[in-house]
Amino acid sequence: MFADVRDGWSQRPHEPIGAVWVVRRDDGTMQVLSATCPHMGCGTTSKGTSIECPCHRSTFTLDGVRVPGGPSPRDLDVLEHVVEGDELRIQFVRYRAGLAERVVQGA
Amino acid sequence: MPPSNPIETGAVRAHPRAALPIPTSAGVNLAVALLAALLVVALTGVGLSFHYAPTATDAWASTARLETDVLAGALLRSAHHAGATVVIVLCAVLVVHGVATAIWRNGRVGWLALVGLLAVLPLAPMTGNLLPWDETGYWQTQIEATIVGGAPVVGDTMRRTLIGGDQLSSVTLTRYYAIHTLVLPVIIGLCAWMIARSRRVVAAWVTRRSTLLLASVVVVFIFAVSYVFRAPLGAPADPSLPLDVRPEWYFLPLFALRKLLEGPFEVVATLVAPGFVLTGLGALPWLDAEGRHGKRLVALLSLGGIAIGALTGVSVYRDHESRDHVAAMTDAEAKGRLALEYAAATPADLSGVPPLYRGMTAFVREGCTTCHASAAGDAKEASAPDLRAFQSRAWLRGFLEDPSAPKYFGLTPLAFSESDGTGMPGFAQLGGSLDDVVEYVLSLGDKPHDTAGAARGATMFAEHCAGCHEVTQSASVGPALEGYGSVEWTASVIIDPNHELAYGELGAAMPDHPHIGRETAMLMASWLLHEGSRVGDDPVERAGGLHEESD
Repeated sequence: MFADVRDGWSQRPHEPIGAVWVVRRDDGTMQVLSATCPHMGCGTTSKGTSIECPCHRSTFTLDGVRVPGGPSPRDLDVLEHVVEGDELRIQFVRYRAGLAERVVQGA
Repeated sequence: MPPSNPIETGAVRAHPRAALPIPTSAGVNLAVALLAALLVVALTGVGLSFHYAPTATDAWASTARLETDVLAGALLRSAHHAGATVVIVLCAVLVVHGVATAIWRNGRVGWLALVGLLAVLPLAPMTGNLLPWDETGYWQTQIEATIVGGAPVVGDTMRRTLIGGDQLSSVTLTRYYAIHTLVLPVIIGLCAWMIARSRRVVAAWVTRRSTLLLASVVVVFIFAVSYVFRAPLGAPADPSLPLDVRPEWYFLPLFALRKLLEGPFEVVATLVAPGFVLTGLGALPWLDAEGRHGKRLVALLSLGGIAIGALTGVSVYRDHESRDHVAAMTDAEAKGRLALEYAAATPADLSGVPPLYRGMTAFVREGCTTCHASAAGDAKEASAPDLRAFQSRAWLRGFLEDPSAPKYFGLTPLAFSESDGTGMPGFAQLGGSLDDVVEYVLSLGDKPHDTAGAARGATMFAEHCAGCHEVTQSASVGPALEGYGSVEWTASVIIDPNHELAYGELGAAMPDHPHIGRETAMLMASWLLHEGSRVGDDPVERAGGLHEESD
């Protein structure tokens, strides 16, 4: 994910700001999931048929739904997206970690 | 100036402290060792601050410069790092010794200062680890901030106050730098002073020569350790490349405890358990003022020690057994080493990251490593040319001999097919004179080459290759070779491999990358060529490399 970044007193264009999972379903539609684990905010990794957090072993299906047994209090956060021609534009929102409900960070 | 008054002098002599038992020599010696270690950390810290800039664009680069350019800079960092570990270990030893000997009988203030030190010390590496702004520090801090944010009610406000906004940024760095270099040293210094005072360390220093010797031993030990165990420096922080991080070793027991207590009980591991232990230790002078329960307390402490040891063991063992984690750590270390090498080769630009490293991360981020092997690692599913020695003499020579080998076009539609009449045939039959063609090809991309060889190669090229390849900007059967192998040419192929001047329709197996922009493509190309040039120039390595790769 890239965006213009406001860093304290300066602004830099087109900086890496985070990572997302883009899952293309069989019917061609797409789902965008935040790659940040809702538990402690670690970055999740792909295990082929699942998404796993290496920090405390929360596991999610490719739809972002929790596999029972992990500590994550909620499913992976789904992010809004639109397809514009060749580009996928994602509304990159960060949610607070560690909560069962979805609360936008800093809100 | 009051007159010398016998009563007053008597009062001084009768001060309660004078009646206290003189601290055992172990108590004094431990304090001396602690002070010596603290002094090393403080002085190396001052040294580091002469070279460090706490902003997101400068932090990593200024730390990398310490490693590569500053005289003894690496040793300074390592001594600061090793010294901090020694301080934490010594502090724990002092606490155990204090409990065993009921040292608060020498004065409660000294004991409270020691417990205070134990509580405050972990904040030093917590804030310090972020300062290099490398991957490890960045992700550790990210998680620590989440833990703070998880506190009931005030959590989110505390998190925002701590990191200075919603996200880690230059504001966080400035804040952590201030805490690390101004706030903590004052608190730690104050605690150390009170500990020293309660144990009359200064008097011991003056009267016992052995204390000076002990202090010297501690200093030498720290520098010896730091010479062997260098302070790690990971790759520059990148929010888009998550890392499987672990906390510092002294937090591993809490980390393991939190894994055991998943869900709402996690707060037990993060806040309740440490708070309970620290409060308990602090209350000891009142709970056991006379030191009557020494044995029981030591037994309790031993149990706690066993629990801490077991939790640490479990945590270390689990990570050791996890191939994913071990692989992730090996990767992260390799990336850190590369980033430092790149910083030494080409200084960071205004982004604060060495351009070669940016080229590599772009290559990884764009998913090129799925099909291409490169200096960033093996391909996940090799189906494209191996770019490890890209454009080196060995690579070009091997390519000309057999372009359809798996490490070149063998796995792509560009492999030679006689029946379809597509792809490039091999020229192994030309034997040693291929070296001249290689020199000629190098000259096309304006790279260092042997002029005489290139001239001979040009003749060979006209004879064998010009049927398919134009050396101008016009379309031909094979790619037009003007500028072949240069940064610009390589960037053009990355952006549009199926351009008519590049690989045309047969190049469509590789996705085009118009969205990344010319600048990023140039960074990726520069990196590929830099890595290639590192393998190519040493004839021994060339032979070895070729041999190894053909296996």
